Amino acid sequence: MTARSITVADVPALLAGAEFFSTSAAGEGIEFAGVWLEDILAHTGPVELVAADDLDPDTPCAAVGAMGSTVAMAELPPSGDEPVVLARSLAGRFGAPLGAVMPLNAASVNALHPVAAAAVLGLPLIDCDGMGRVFPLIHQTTYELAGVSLSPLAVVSAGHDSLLLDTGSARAEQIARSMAQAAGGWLLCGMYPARVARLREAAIHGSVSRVLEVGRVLCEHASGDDRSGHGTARHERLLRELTAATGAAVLGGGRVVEIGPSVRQAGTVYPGNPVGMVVHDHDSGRLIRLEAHNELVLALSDGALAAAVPDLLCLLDRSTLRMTGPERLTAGDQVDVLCVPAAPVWHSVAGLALGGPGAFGFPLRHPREEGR
Amino acid sequence: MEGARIGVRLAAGHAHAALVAGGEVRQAAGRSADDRALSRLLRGLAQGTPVQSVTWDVSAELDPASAGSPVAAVRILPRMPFRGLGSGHPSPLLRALVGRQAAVIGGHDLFGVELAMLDIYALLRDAAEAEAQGLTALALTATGAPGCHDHELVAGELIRDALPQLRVSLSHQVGGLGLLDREAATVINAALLGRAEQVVERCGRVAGGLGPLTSSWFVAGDGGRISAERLRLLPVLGLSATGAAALTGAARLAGVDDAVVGLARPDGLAVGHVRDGLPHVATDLPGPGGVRMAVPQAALTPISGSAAASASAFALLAEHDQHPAVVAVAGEAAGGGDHNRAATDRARAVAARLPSATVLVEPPAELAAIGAAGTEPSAWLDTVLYAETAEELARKRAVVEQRALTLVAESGARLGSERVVSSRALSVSFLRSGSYRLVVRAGGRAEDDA
Repeated sequence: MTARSITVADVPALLAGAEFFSTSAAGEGIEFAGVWLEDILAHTGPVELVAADDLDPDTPCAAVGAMGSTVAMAELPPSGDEPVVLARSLAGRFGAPLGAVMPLNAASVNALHPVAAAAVLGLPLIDCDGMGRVFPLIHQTTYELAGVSLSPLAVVSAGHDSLLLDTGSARAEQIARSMAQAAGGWLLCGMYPARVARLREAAIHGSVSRVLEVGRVLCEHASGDDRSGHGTARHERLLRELTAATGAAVLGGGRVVEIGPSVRQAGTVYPGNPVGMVVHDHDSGRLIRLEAHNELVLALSDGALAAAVPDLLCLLDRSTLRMTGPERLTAGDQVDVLCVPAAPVWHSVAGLALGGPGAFGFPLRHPREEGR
Repeated sequence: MEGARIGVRLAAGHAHAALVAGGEVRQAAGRSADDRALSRLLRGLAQGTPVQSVTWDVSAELDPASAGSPVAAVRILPRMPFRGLGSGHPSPLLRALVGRQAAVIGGHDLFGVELAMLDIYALLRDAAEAEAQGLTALALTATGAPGCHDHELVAGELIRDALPQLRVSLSHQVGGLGLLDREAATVINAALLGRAEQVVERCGRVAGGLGPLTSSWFVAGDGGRISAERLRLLPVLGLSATGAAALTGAARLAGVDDAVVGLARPDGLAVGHVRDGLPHVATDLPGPGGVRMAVPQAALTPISGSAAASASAFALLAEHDQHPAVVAVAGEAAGGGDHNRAATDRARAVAARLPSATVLVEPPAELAAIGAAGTEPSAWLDTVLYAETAEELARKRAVVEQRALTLVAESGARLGSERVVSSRALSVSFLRSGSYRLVVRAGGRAEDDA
């Protein structure tokens, strides 16, 4: 057994790790969710975190995650019993209650929602997810790649408008997103109902533990507990620890010299608007252009493709040693640009078709495709 | 000496004051326990010079942990919290200040669409119970209030009519986006209403003693100045003002409008930025008791450790900043006492590591007091809007900017001096295309600007 607990004391690390894996755009302004989750765990007690292999393979489970805007969620927080509505809706599919929940994606606010759902429902949380990062669409998952059906999709708003959608993945996405806009800007979703046995091939395992591990590194530095050095030394040590924990590469670092709406046309399938920014790499003098559409999707170094989705692009603020993104940054701020390799399944042909640059409207081949 | 301005920081029974007129700076410090002593200190500082304004940094006087009184907190939401889950706040300060917590049905979404009708009966019942419990103030926070504050206004009116003794703070007047953070700010604001009343009256009385033409103002946490009436209504805006005032003072003494500033203290360096004469601010910083409030305050990054360590860290930041570097002694008057000597030594060590263009400021009076004297009217707005085209965005943006300029004028800006300092329209992730968060900052020159 690898079971362990997530307690109130783990929430700061969970939050910091969730910001890291949010790929810089989607994690901004999610601190409210930490306050909210701490209060829930203080009432319910710890959540049991288990590996999929530790559960009975026949256990009914479902992914939990929010769709919509974190800004809207910060303004209209969950009322607390949304997971109860979802679990009730999905139980009909199995003819039995859910036995466990897993994250849609262990990143941004969606690293916290499944913990809250498990706490409120009194169920174990499976240590896995379906993205290993943030993607804008709820069917851009490894669950989908493995053939697990997204629907029936159960959704509920903070005002408790609820719906059970039984349709194809892309269609469910479109209908639910329209509803999210009308229902206050976000919905909590229960999806990919399956038996735990299906997760063996369909999930990215250990995702929640990885978020906690990276979050602890960030918290240690943010609190100043790391007494090994100051200023430059602390910043370099944090970068070293983050790259060691995630396998990330540092693409460069320096001053943000340009930031604002991107001139490129974006596909209408995605919410939000494209944003562009340029970082002047102090060491090499190169200009790193970053394209964001909800999250960071592409990095060009002096015009050459350096990194792209599904790999994660993350920004570290050098002055605060916190993860940051376009909403917080202004020209003149100093950042490091990190690229974290996505889970291997995302580099398959099917994975790149679903979550690669082409899926975001860029007529580019992912660097991993160049050798094919 | 003409057109003199005085800045005063009140803290722990002491006043640290600076008189600024043209290029001349005088300083005074002393006990501030009673009005007479404080009046005497300011008259001695003025030495007969006509004083146009006194600007007070009262953030220490408004410490919510010691000066706040428990209040009722009422949220307006489309659905009641389930078993109270997610309603609490982990901060001991907030828990101490919330004497009673309730929720009533109502609220809007970010774009102003009503999510539920306001339950006025539940609202009045909760307010009456709060008053019966002995609470004298109520913090009202409606979801979506930055997009539409109708429910807060109606609720405030109803409570004032029914329970005129109960003071009400409305969240849309206090802070920006984010219900929990804005509620925290509104609770702290309501808790300080009584104390703010006393502080404002006292400061006005003392400033009035310098002459009938001397006006009284207050430093806000964003580095701007606000009127007595505004501080009386929104005391939370006066918190965390000392760092902002120090940044303003450093830039003024260095003679620059844009700079990366290192404030040298005995135990470390605090690094901030000044843009267009105003401190760079953020809304997601921990405020009093570590509580995050959706209220702008000067962004200061602490660098602790030895003078050499802070010097190398600041040098790295300054090297890559396009604006000049300023290092300032951020204590009381330079050279006085061990405390200040340590800060002065640190400032000199840091400046020695930087290029020769770096300005070292060893102020002739307390830096925050000098900064307080030099503060100018400012305003900050944070809202969400929807625009399908660039033209529509420009039109809606202009309306918000005009609102910010009006607030600047209300803070005593000279006619025609109001200007938009920054205006950022940020695409909101994961909402329909065309959703923007608009953050506007405006400033102006005060009527008494010499």
